[in-house]
Amino acid sequence: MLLDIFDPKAPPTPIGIDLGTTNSIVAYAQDGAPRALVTCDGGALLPSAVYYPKGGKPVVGRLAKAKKLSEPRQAITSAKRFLGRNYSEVQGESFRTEALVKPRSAEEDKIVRFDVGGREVTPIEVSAEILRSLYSSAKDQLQNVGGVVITVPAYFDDAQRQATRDAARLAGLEVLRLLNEPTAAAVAYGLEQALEGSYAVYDLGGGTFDVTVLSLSDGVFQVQSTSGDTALGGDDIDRAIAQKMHDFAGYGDHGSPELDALVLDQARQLKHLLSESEESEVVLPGPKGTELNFGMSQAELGALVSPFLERTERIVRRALKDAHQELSDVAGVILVGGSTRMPAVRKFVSELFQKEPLSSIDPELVVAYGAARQAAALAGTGEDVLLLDVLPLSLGMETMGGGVDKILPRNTPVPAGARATFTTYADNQTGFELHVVQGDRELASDCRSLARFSLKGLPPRPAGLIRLEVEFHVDENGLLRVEAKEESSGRSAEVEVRPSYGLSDEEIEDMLIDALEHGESDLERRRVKDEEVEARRILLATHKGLTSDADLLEQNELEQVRLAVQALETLLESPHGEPKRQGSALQQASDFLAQVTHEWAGKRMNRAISGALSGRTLGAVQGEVDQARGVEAHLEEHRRGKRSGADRPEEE
Amino acid sequence: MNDPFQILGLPARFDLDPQELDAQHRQRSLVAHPDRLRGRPALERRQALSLAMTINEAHRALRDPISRARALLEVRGHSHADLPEKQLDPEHLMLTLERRENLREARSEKDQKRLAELLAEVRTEKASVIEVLRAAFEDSGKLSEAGLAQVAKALSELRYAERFLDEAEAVDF
Repeated sequence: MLLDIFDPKAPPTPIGIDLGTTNSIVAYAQDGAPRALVTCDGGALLPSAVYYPKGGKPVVGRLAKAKKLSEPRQAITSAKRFLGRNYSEVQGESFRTEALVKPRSAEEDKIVRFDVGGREVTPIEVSAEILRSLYSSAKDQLQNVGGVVITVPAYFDDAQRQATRDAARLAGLEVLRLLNEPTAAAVAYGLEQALEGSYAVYDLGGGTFDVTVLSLSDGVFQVQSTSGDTALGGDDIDRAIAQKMHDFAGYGDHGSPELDALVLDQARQLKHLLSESEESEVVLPGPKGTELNFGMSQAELGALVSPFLERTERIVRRALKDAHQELSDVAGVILVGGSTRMPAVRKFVSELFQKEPLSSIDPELVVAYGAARQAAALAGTGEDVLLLDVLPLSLGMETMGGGVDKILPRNTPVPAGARATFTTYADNQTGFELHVVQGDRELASDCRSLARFSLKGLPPRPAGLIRLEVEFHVDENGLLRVEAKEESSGRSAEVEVRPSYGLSDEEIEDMLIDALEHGESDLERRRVKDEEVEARRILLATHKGLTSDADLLEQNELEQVRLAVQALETLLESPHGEPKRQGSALQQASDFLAQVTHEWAGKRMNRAISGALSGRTLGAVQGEVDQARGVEAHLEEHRRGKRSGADRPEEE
Repeated sequence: MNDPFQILGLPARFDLDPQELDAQHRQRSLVAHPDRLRGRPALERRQALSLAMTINEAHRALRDPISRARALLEVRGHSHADLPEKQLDPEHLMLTLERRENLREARSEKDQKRLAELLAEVRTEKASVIEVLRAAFEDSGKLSEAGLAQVAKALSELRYAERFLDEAEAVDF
């Protein structure tokens, strides 16, 4: 290429970001091949470090990482370890070189705040700084950047995922999806080598361990199970080595942050050296300016690492059991994460699975590659793949006595829905306090609290006679909605569980203030317009469906569909009222139509599939089903959208 | 609940081929998963979302033999009330208690061999209970009273076997 001419109408390129504990990477996929973009440090890897100079602008990358040694409190590394965790959870960790702000209120305890010399920053802001840097590198090289898929450890809970989303919002990114790191790696390998069968991904990173079992077939990546530990990783090994160094050098309890940072750095250095050679040594500061040599062999390191590896074996076995599989069912193992470069880890994994792990893709880049490919697939510019993911942790309700009733157990495929019934426990009880929790421990207090809400004004009745129906819905983005309904009184309550841990919406809005383009009423008007367009499209589709598949409806169902259609048409023709009211009325009427056509849609899908499955390709089936949906019009629009790359962003 | 067999386009039988079950689930997901409908109207996506949930729920129900048997009873026109009260067979209860005791001992003595024997024994039993269920559902149509009693007994034994296996497989010396 002679000239890289900027085409203002160039379609936006979706990107994938591996926001790692130690290093971060941004990549994109073009013509079925993923490529890493050059970061501000000049290579593919951007150290996940941010340096906050006094009175200056934050600096990201290699320089920030170097500053960790001279000004440990001004430079934040491994911020990902702190994402979505609260002060009390992390303040006891050893070799922590950051200065944490002591929370001044219960509210402030929900989030970790670093003191970087008179300034306070949260891990969310640190992560946003890294994302912003990667985004701007991508813009330099791709001109028009579309949505982004960001990877997270499979075992991240809701708080940690939400913190990641918040960071992306702060950096001005449009998140297409958060993708689990091991799944991303499987996508990268699966697409490159057209893998079929059952695969395990063993992901030992800097701060977290995950294992995921997937089955790959017909372009569908189905996660069977996932399991992990958010506090097990290379950092633990570093700390174990550093502890040995401490004992050896006799520093006692009076280690300064500078000394701790240095010892940790040397520990990491030694670990890396031992990936290359059988024996190695590093220099530690001794008493009165002297130097001490500290040596270690691969075998000694192996012994130090062994308890951590045994912990990973238990987690592997649990994941296989959840997937109803044996070690021998696994066709291949994919290694992910910097810590899997250690010879002891590789040996352990190949012995456990009796197989040499796959290794054709650079382990540093494989996660970002998978994210880039999934971003392209979601934006409609990449390969035709579908990823079916599962819930990483159980979702449930607190019961009387502080136990947990698991409504959606871990490893349930998403999207997912489930119901449960609760009854009153005291006579004349007129309300329920509902507490939604996430986790696999038996006590609600040991799980992550996601939301509390209440349902009041129930008729007084003897205990056990009031029945509360609770429904959980998790959508394809992993967002949970909980609905509670009491039949006899018709009372209901609903919460959208979209927790923003630590950072309130106002705080984020404040941080985003300049990004706001529209006033509230503008937004409202636009929303009504969208609703109208929606309603017209869906009416069209329903009418078409009635022409072709009305026979799948019972007489009374047909009546209901007609009524719902009529209600929506009347509303569209009526003069517009106040935008807000008009919008919600349209929404309600549309919802009603969706509700009465739901079962019908399923029957129509089945008819289309069984009619089409006789010896034709999946693409043909998809076409057939689209016909059945009566959505040719939409499809046309979709195609046009695809060509210009202007897929409408998902409404959040 | 909706009929999971119908949702996944499978014959209402007890012995389903797990691979076919997965394949049907994949086919339907390829059509109904909201990720396949990006750029389409939100209402259509919502509908796809709830369809995808139903498909996932049906897959879950049919994958597990206990809920598959329950779904099958419903399809055949039985209600929950049709199943006779589960009466614990005293013999089976004794056996279960004995096994628990055995498991406890194997665990405290870190006896690998004994644990493996126990696991093998209960796995064999589980397979034979599943065979009983398969036979009970062999003929189509409603089940006889005797058939229902057999199913109820098998389901209760299967539950015990699964709970035991859950516990025994989690043992870690």
